Amino acid sequence: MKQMLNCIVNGESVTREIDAGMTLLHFLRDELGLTGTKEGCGEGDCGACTVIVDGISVNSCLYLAVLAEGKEILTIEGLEKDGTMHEIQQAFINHGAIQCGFCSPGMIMSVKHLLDETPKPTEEEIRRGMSGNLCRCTGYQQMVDAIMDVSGQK
Amino acid sequence: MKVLRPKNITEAIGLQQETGGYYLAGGTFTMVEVNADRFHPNCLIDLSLCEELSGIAEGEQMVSVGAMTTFTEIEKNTLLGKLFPAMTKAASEVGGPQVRNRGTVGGNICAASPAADIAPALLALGAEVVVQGADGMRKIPIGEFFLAPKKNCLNANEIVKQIDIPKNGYRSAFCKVGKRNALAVSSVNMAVAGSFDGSVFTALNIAAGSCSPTPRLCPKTADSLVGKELTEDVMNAAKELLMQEISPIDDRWATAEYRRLVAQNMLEQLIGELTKEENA
Repeated sequence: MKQMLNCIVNGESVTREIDAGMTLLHFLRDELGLTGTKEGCGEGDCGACTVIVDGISVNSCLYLAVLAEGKEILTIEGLEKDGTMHEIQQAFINHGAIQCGFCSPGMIMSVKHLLDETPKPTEEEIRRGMSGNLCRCTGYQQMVDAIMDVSGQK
Repeated sequence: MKVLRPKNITEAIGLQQETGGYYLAGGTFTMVEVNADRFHPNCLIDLSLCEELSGIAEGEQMVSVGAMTTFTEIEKNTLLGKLFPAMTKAASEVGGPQVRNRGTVGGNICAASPAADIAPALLALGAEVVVQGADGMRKIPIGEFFLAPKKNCLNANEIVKQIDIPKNGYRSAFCKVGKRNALAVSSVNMAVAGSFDGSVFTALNIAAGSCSPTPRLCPKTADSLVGKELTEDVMNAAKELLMQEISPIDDRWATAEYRRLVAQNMLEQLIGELTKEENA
């Protein structure tokens, strides 16, 4: 069954008629073509689908799109400004925290949320803040280094 | 599938009776089932706009936690952290940050997983579940809420409104063991709550999860530790009783043998936590 959705995605107003059962993940990827956000598991167990809705990080695979009515959604595509990487993205690149890249969009969104809440996190807080995102490549250390760097620590 | 968004509980109950639909809280359980094609609701009734279900309110005798309160909100709440540390600790260990940002205490107990992390804390703290349905309101002691794995005691039109936790002045503690430090279903979890006068417990509740078909109080074990000096013999006897009060199975998260061993160790650790000087 079709329902209307009005929301703001990366600062732009969006209005679409969508299937009521569509998840936010599929809305972003299939309806809006924002394929940065990934489907890793479809069950809230990997974090690859993480986006920020009204300032809160969520697994978009478990979030019905129609519930985003009137809300502001930030995806990985929304971090870059006029061709310049966000400092978190740049720090990940600088510290070799990206290998296959599949976890990276979701991971970076979780890091954004972490730093928004806790601008100077301890290593323990960093690891906890990333604990909803799995990476099979890096072993996480380069990400911790990148976050310490971007938060002006160490 | 339709998604309906009532503005209050009365409207929600009416819609449920009209459509035969299912209530939706944070979606961190329901949407897993929908995505996996195991659940095909004709209609989901989203409760996120029903303001009566939100908020944490302190009364004289109890604290009421709205059913739609997320685990992040519980984790961060200073009142709950001060009065009921087992509850905030349990909330802090559910899933990961993104899951905690959406998962709600009401939705979680309705999903009735035997491994639910908040359940032992609520059991040990003596919580009551306030429920509203087509036939009115009722209060259910949390110990009567879980009937079987994934089965709660509610009828289809009933909504959990809030969870009331009595202000008993108990100390409390919680522990979870899983295959990972986060994004893990508990292999064993446990909460203890009680009053300790410096040498003996004057009251004690022990609740274990992931060790039985439902999260469960272990009253014989708890009673055996009340009013006594906690010698090694007393603790060993308590561990024996604990083995009689849980009925673990082998499953994908742990074996029964592992659960029995870890539950005993957890009991000792948590009792130790409650009796520490600095917890006074």
